[in-house]
Amino acid sequence: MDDFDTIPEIADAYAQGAVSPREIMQRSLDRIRQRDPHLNAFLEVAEAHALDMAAQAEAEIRSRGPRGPLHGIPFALKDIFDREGFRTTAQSRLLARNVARTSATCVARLEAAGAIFVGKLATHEFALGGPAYDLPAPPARNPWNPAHFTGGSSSGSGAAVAARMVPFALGTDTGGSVRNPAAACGIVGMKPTHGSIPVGGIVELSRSLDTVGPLTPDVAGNEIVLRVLNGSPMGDLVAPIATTGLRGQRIGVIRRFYRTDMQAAPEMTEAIETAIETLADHGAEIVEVDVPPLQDMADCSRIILISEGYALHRNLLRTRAVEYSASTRARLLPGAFIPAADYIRARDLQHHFRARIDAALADVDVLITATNMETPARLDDPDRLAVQYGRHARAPFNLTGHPALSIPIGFSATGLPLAMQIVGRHQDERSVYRIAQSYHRLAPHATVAPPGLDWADKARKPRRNLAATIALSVAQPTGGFIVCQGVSRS
Amino acid sequence: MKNGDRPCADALTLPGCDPAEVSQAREAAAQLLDRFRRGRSQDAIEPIADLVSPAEGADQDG
Repeated sequence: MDDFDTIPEIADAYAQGAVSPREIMQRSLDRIRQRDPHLNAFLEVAEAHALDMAAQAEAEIRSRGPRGPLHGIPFALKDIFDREGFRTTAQSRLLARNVARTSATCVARLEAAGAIFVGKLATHEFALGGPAYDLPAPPARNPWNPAHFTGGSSSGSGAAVAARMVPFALGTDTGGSVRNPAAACGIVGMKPTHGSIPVGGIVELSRSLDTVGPLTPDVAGNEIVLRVLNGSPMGDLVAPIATTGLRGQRIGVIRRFYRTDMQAAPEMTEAIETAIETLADHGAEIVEVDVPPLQDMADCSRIILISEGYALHRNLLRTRAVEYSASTRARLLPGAFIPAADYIRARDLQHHFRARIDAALADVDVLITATNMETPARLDDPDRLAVQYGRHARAPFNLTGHPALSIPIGFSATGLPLAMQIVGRHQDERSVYRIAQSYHRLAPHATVAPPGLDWADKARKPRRNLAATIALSVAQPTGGFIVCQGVSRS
Repeated sequence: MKNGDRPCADALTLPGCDPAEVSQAREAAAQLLDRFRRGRSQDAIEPIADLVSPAEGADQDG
């Protein structure tokens, strides 16, 4: 059964009767029990609910066939999505008792397609703060090396999918928070066109930038989830996703982002260039394109993000500031000092930057550039983590709203994943997926599971012991370590 | 950034927190604004054109 890690694999196995939804769900829950104590990806596991729904899915598939490829597929949610009857905490004390009365629109769409909610995943507080030890739960850890950061803020989503605990998870991407954990954890993460997926029922950060996105171990499964999130009819989902290959495809490369505007780590640059060569060797035409400076776009995006984020949190910061993580306060508070004139200027420039990226895409099918400039730092290296916070090329496409996908392209000398970003025209996720799928078939790095999972399964180390280990090994700049209370069950 | 151009907010106090957090945030915002205002892309919007409303439907979030 170990081969059934992706949505297409599981859906195909259901159709052939090779495995049942209850078996897949039990395997998912077993993996969570065995692996999550090492990774802290889950904040809550809805075990009873998940098993009930798996039994229902099994009966329905047996009697009437599957509703579509997501029927009976387990999934988990970054803990800023509302799921009726479960807490949405945004990993914050401020929302510790916040139980959702209804489900977010996109969650309802997944469940209507038959996907089964398994639990809530770690995030940076309010999808903004960094990895923090002054919160009720510790930060998620990277399945490729638990000493390292997962990327964020959809940190648990990246860890849970990379560790094969669930076949897919949802995250949100305001400054790269789907693509960052996807890149850091060696999986596929898509930030679709801004505004294309409803954000109702999700804890907001920046309405001009917030976007929902799926994280998966593969490209095809990612597109299936996105189609459902987009509200596609079930009938559309049955057809396999075809690719037409690379001949005739024109790919624009934004080298300035990772070679001159910022200098990526040599192994990241080398891996991106190798991936581009692979695409060229198989028929794609590669052209270099010019776009505005990365720093200009990143700063413009930051002005909007922190202004809108501060506006949302202003009243709570003035009355309950101490209940936030110090890192969240540090990232929200600068928004108090952005004049309205600069915010409006940034919103005006947003249109200019979108037009420039549109122009860069006028004669090519997609753009390729870096996602992150280097592999994720160790969690016990706050100085390096702080530097890495700004070393990426993700924010430009939040600013311009273009769909952007991160895909694994190899591994560093230390065994951590490397990644690149594929960017498409507005509403043209199909072209992004087509190029990504073609690359994935040529170089299937995304299907490689982290090697540490075997020892995780054998060790079955209790969470409390792990927390004690972390508490001893990690510097605590902002106060005491708070031990996660373990996996709770509904 | 000139002194007179330094961003100022209404008196911001965070109950229970170190006042230095506010001054650090102010400094972080000042650095960001400085880079943003000096960015080459600021020239993309002509001062005169800036005074004219965009065409209907130009707002990408519409």
